[in-house]
Amino acid sequence: MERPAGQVDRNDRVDYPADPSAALEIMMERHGNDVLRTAFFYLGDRHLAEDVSQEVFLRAYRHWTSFRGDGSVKAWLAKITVHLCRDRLRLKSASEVPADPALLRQDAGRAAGRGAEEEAMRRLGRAGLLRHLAALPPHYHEALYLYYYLDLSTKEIAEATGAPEGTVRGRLSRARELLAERLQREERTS
Amino acid sequence: MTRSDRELARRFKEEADEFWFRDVRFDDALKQKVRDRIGKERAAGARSMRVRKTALGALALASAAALLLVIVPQVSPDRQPASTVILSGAGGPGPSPAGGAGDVLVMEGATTPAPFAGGMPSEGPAVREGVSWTPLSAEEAAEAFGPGLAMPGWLPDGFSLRQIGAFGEREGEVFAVTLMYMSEDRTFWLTLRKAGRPEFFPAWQTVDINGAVGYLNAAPPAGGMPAPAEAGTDGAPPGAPPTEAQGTVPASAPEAPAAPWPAAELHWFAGGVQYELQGAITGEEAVKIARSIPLATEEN
Repeated sequence: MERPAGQVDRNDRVDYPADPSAALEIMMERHGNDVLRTAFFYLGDRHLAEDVSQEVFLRAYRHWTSFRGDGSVKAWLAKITVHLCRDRLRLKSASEVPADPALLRQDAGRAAGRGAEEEAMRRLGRAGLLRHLAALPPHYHEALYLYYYLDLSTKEIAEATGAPEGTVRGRLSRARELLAERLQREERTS
Repeated sequence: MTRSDRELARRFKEEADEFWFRDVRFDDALKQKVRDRIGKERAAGARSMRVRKTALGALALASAAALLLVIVPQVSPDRQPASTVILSGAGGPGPSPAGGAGDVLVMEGATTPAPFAGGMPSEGPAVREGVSWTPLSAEEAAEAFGPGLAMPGWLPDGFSLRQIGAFGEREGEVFAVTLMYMSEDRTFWLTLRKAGRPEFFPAWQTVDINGAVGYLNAAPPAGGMPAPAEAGTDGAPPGAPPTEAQGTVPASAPEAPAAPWPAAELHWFAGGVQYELQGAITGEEAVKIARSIPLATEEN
C-alpha cells in the first residue's frame, strides 16, 4: 500500500510521518519546550511567548508538507520562532520593548512585582554564567543561546537569524573570550 | 565542539533551565490550544467551502449539461470520432438537469482552471491550456490509462456512471481520466491522474483510504445532512482530541449561505496515481466511494 513518504530528521533520529497532524504531535512533544523557551528568551513575556509558540506549531503544521527535510526539524522550528519573535518585537515600539533579552526578562520581573524581581535577581546572583552573559553586549546573547542552549550549528544559526555564518562564528568566538575573561576574573577575586 | 565548549554548554543549559525556564514548559494545555486552533482553521475552511458550494453545485450541474451538449453532437453517426465511444455501458446520456450551461468544458486548447494544479481545490473537471479532452468508453479508458484505472465498487443511491473523459497533451497520450457520475439531482467526478508524488492539502481533514492518506474538505447542505467522516479515520495519532477528527462546521460557527446539496472534495494518492473525488456528495459518501476503489499499486 502506497503511503506518502515521511521525513527523517537525521539530527533528531526521528522518522516523522507525512501526515501533518501526526507530525505535529511529535514536533510538539519533542520540541515544544525549546520553542516556548526560545520565544520567552526573545520576548521576555510568558503570555507573548505562549502565543508565539502556538503560532510556530500552527505554521509548522500548515507548511509541513513543504518542509524538505534538508535541515533538522529543530532548526526549522527555531527559524520560524526567531522570525515570529522578531515580527512581534517590530510590532511594539522600541521604547516599549528593549532588544536585549536580558533586559526583557528584567522587565518581565518588574511587571510581575517587586518581590518577583528581587527573587529573580537573587536567583540570578547564583547563576554565575548567566550573570556574566547578561553583562555582555546584547548581540552576543542570541548567538550564545542558539548555539549553547539549542545546540544549533553556526550554519543553522545563520539561517535562523539571517546573519552571515562568518558573523555568527565571529560573535561566538568573541563571546567565548569575553565570558572566559569574566569567569577567570571572578575566580581570581573569589 | 571542544571540551571547554561542551562544559560551557552544560553550564548554560543547567543555569538557563533553573533560572530562566524553570516553569516554562510547553504543557498539555498549550498543545491542546494548538490543536484547537487547527480545528478552528478547518472549520473556517469548511465554512468557506459552504460559501462556494453554491457555485460548485451550480457548476456541477452546468458542467454536466455542458458535457452532454458538447458530447451529444459527437455521438451522431456522421460526427462521432472513430476512437470515441460515448457512455458505453453507463446507461446512456441522461436528461440535462440544468439548461443553458455554457462552455464549461472546452475541447482542444481550452484555458480554464486546471484541476491538476495541486494544492488548491478545483471547481469541477476542467481542461488546462494545451490539453485535449477525449470521451472514451470504460474499456478504452482502461487501455489508454493502464491498469491503474479502477472504478468505485460502491455508489450512493441513484448515481450511475454517465461519462468518461481522458486528458492528454499529445495524441494517444492519456495522463488523466475523469469519470462523471450523476443522479437525478447531483453530480460528482472521479479523476485519476498519473503522478510522481502525492499532493497535500495541509488544512484539510485527513481520512484513511485503505491505508492511503486522504484529504477531505466537506460541507453539509443547508438544513442538515451532516457529512462527517467516520470517527477514528482522520489519521490523527492516538489520544488526539476530538477536534482533530472534525470536518464539519461546529454548531457554534456562524452560518454561511448554503445550497440544498452537500459538497465534498477528497484527494488521495497510491501507486503513482493521484485520485480526486469532488462534487455534490457528502464527506461520508466521498470516503465510502473512495474506499470502494481498488488502489493502484506500483506493479500497475
